[in-house]
Amino acid sequence: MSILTVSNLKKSFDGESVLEDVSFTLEKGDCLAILGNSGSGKSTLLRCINLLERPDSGTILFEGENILSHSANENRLRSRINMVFQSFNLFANMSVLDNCMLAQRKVLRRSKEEARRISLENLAKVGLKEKCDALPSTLSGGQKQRVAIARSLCMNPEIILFDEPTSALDPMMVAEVCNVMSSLREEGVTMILVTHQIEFARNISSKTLFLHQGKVDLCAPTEEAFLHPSPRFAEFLKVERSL
Amino acid sequence: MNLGEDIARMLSAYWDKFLLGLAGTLILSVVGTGIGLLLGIFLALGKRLRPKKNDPLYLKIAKGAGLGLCSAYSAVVRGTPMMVQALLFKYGCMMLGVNWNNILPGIDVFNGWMVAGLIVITLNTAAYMGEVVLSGLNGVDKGQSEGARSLGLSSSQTLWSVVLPQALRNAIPTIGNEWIVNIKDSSVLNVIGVAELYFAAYNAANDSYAFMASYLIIAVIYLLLTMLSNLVLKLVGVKLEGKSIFRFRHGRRAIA
Ligand SMILES: Nc1ncnc2c1ncn2[C@@H]1O[C@H](COP(=O)(O)OP(=O)(O)OP(=O)(O)O)[C@@H](O)[C@H]1O
Ligand SMILES: [Mg+2]
Repeated sequence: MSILTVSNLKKSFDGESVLEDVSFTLEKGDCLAILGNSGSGKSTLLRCINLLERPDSGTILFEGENILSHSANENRLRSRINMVFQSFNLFANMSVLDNCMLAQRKVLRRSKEEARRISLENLAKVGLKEKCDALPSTLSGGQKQRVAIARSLCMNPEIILFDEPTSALDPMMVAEVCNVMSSLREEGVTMILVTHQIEFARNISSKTLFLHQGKVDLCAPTEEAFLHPSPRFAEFLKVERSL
Repeated sequence: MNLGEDIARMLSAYWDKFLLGLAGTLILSVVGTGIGLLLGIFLALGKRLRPKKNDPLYLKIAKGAGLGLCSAYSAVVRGTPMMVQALLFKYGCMMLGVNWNNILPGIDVFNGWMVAGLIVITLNTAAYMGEVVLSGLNGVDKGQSEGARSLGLSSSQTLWSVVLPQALRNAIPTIGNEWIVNIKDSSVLNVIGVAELYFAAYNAANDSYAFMASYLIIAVIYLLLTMLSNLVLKLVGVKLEGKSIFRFRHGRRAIA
């Protein structure tokens, strides 16, 4: 059984259709890259999966359960499908360690000691254990994003959704975040990645989905998608690579 | 008669009364501001209620009622002078058969009217604090709550752990301003016989006919008090902010 099955997802804002009949599946251990022009609905799609937006219609099956049904426990589901944002969204009023501990304590009800141990483990994994007492405002962009990834890892999520995790970073810092994501991939973390970094997406992903004006234009294993692109995807690649 | 002599005479004859008045003013401003802030938080939350499309009917009604009540309270209290509110409170209580004279009678400043005054200044401050907290909440970046929600925190956990602390932190200068306004504005509570600083001066002046001296004395005390409060608030600000120093507006309410 697929870990995530999205079918016929529709979403519009003020009558303006943003997602039209989006369907795809994700297997455990997959890395799905979602590519598309600005405004094609990539963020909206991730936000629907994280339940930050409610789709107008369609289903999202997560381990066989429809997460859009009214009986679904939204908060519990969000803790299992995390999201990492372009703007980091670290809690400004807390240290790095407390950022990592908060949801573990409140949502997973872990003890203080356990939450602390797991936080430090994951901060070490992203190379920031020594920053645990720092406030987010004192970190560089790359460090902030690595903390955000560690914070998500602490929840042991089944899927991590990355929405342009490197777009707000200086070129110098892009690599450090990409390296962290590559190592997660090697560990078999299931993820969906929205990015404008075509080559990184090609290297890291097992599957590629190309969104065009809210519709799935192409969804295929990455190698195949890049070797035999649809006309629109080929055009997109040409433009993106020329930038 | 010489004003300097008058002042010296008043201070030696009525120092204990002035001191008690000062205590009254401090209690009114500290308690009024503190509890007012607490109530203001709930008022602000009430004003943020929004019935949603998917809410069941009873929730829509409850949210709408909460929103309406909080907005009305805030508008009425901020739209009328505290002096009038105090009088309405006093005579309203009397109509209901509650006479604050008989509650806690006799212990000088700390009599029933002080309790009535505390209630009035607290309820009045709550309305202003509601606005302060509301703008603080609206000033917190939306990403902060999305970050929390995306990890599975409920909306109330997100509010209390992430959003509200930041809102209050940003509102400290305005909250401090409300406190200083309360130090001065508590003087209007003399209309219902609350024994604060102005009330002490009024009685001393009528007792001795040294009007100018009495009111000069409390003017200086008020000034010292607000300057001292400003200093305290600045130190708090410096401690929180590192080096930048907050500025406080004098006189009017920061939010009308
Ligand atoms: N909350 C909202 N209210 C109204 N319109 C919205 C909202 N969120 C997104 N949109 C619109 O939906 C469309 C798709 O937006 P979305 O953010 O999903 O695009 P995207 O593919 O992530 O773009 P980008 O690459 O620039 O991040 C845009 O036209 C946007 O203006
Ligand atoms: Mg986007």
